[in-house]
Amino acid sequence: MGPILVDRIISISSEDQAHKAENILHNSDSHHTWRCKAGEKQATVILQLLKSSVISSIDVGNDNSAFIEILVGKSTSDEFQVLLVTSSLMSLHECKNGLNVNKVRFFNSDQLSPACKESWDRVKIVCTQPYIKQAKFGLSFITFHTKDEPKKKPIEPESIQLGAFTLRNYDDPDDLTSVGRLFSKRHENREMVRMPESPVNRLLALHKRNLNAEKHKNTDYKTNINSPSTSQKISKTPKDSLKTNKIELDVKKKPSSTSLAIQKKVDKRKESDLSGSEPAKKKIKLNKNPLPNTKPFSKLFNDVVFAMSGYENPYRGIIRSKALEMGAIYKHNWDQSCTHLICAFIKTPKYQEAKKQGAYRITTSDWIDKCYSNRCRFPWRRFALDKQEQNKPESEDEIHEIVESVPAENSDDEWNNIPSKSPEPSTSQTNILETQENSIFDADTDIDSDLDVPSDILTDKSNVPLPFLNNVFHNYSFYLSSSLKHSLKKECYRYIIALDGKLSSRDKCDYIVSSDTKDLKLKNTVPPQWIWDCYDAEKILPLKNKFN
Amino acid sequence: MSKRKAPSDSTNPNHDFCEFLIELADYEKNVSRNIHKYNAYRKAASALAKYTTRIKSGEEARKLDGIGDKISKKIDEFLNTGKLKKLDNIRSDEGAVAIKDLTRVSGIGPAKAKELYDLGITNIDILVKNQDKLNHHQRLGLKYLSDFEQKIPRNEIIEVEKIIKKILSNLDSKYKITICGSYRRGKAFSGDIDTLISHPTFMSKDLKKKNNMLQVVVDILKTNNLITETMSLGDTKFMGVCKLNNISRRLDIRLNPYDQFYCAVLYFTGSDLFNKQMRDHALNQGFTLNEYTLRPIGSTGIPGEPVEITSEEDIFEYLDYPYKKPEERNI
Repeated sequence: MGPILVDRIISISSEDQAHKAENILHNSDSHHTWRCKAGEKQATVILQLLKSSVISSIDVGNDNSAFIEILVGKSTSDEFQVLLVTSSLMSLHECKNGLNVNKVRFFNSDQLSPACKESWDRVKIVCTQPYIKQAKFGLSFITFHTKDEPKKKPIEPESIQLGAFTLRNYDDPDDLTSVGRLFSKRHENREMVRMPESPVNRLLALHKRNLNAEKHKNTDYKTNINSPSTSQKISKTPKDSLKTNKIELDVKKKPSSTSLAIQKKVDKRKESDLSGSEPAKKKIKLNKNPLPNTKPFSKLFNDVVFAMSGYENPYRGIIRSKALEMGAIYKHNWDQSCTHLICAFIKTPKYQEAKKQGAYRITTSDWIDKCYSNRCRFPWRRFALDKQEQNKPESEDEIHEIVESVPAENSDDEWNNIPSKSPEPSTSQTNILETQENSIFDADTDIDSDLDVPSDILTDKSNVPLPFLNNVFHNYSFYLSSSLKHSLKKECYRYIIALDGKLSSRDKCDYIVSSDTKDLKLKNTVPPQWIWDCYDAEKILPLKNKFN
Repeated sequence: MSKRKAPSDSTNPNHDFCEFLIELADYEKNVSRNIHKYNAYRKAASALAKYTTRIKSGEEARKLDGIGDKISKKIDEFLNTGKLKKLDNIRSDEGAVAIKDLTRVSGIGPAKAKELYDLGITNIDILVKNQDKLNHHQRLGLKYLSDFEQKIPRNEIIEVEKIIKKILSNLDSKYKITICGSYRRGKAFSGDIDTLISHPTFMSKDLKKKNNMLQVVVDILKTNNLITETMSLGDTKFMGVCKLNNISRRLDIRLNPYDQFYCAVLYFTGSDLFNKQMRDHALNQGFTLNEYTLRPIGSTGIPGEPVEITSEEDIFEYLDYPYKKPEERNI
């Protein structure tokens, strides 16, 4: 039972001058307690834990409170769940007579709510004292304990929680000279396929790989980074990238382009075959269906073999049939052939099993749901079950953790040295918009799949490197007139957002986009075509160019 | 719970109003099975019963808590015509009459009565010939129907209490015994004998374990010729019949966990309208009260850990509610 370290106090309802809230974090001195100001109905304090932890027991030292309630939450959301229901710290008799104001109570996991099985990084403590009027009350200390982690480490949730420690144990200090080193070391140890995901890590990994390309060629999931063509692409200038992106946007209009993509895919598969190492095989298995950027709806998931865990009927049945409709194969139990686990919460038996086998594609049912409703295969990672882990404070080791759970899937930033200002959100947004627009593109799209590589969907200009969106419309705001047809409006929206423009109200915008000829006589009104023209020209075109 | 709840005795100046309201209430409970209308009529009757002067108009009655537009109109109608159309309709309705008759039997509630009525059983006489439709409890209820309909005089319950206390303290001096219900509220007559017992070795955490404590208690009361029949017997609840003199009486014995004893005593002392008020007050104070526990409600509305209660007064004190002696709870 190790104590959980508290990082800081986020907020307090009130504190007495002489009895500051920070006192509750130090249980050495019983005279230093936290008390609220007199006359408060309840006293609350919210703590930020140093890292997300499973709280298995709590020790509370009272200071004049009648009841305590402890709630837990995550820094990613404002919601709190009850961990310890309102419990007495003093009996009525003690309150009335001022007896035993500093009692200590221990709460173990039997007394905690089921929330104690999950890990949390925020704690809210609510103390009340309705029986002593004008009382200053609070706590003298509070400590949280977590169970010692079991020795069977390979299970992922533990390594997520304690990833930092695991890594340090594995690696000699000498080995920590570069992050790329760390990656490869880890891969060797775990015999697991890993993906560097965050842009920074990808770059570091890339750099590392360029240094000893042969050695790690296939250990990484994104092996193809090493292929000569791609490294060449990476060296291209952003200007080139921009073109690529344009092409990507155009792809929808040119279905013929997919054949080329397939061709490329085949090339890549050959390459992987040659390398022949274990992880590479895995990759091939996953890629056994070539991944064109569009697929019929019924084949969206045709490379997915999934098992489900933790969902109950009838919901389970609904999700399953949605996945089957999209072409996935359902397995009753988790086995080697499974590619994804649709899992409601961590540590289910199937979850454990999948983790043991090194599987990491574990998502919530939202993945199926969203893909189904948007008729588009989104990258699973956006719906990864262990998603919470991504928003952790940065440290070298923590970054490593994020590498596995960050859902940043948009391939753009993987291929371009674009920092955080990458067009990721905009493109993903546009994808959604676009796929809803089936009247224009009669085939369903799958451009979001994590297995997709942008190079695959490059088309007739395949020598052009990766997509990059110029922020042509940066600092400009637009208003989409209601005269635009729905589909057109969406398309305009897509382009505006993609080019870093903003939408605003009619009277505040820089440009009104309208197809109405009356509107177009107004000074700042533009037809949709103007947007495409700006896009092609990569700059804001003068308004006189507009034709009406 | 006894069959008839009478908030008003014949000395009350508004006795007749109370009577018809109770009749309407019973109709709503047993025939239309609308518990909310039942409660509304009961509340109105209870308010009138407390009113010390004779009501002269519906308008006057409306000032009372629990009497609104509809009931005040009924009072006017009753004052003007000496009867109620609705009540006459009910009284002339065959189904309503049959169901009212059948529900006199202990163990037959509105649902069972309706079921029997649908089978063509419209009164007690036919029921006597169709006892195969009844369960053990209901058969006993039918068997002792006339006995059970007789009110139990206070003195008789005092006798029963003495006997039970004596027998049980011989068995184990740690038994706590309280007879609740209207008897505890000081009423001269009661419908049944509602006994709560507890023992320090039996706590709420032991509820899941099998225990034969109640079985032992019932057996010993049987051998002492107090209990004559068993309607049902579980781990914590006995329903049956006792006989002291010539008349058989309904006797319930509940075995409560020691730590929940006072909440149970409060609950089973009633009255049910008082309990409702008390629970409402508890909610206002941020607590939830039931027959087992008093629990504080947390900031997200989840009831907390039961507070420790060592007497009935504790409950009132936790709720910052002026203590009411059992005799003061007759509302």
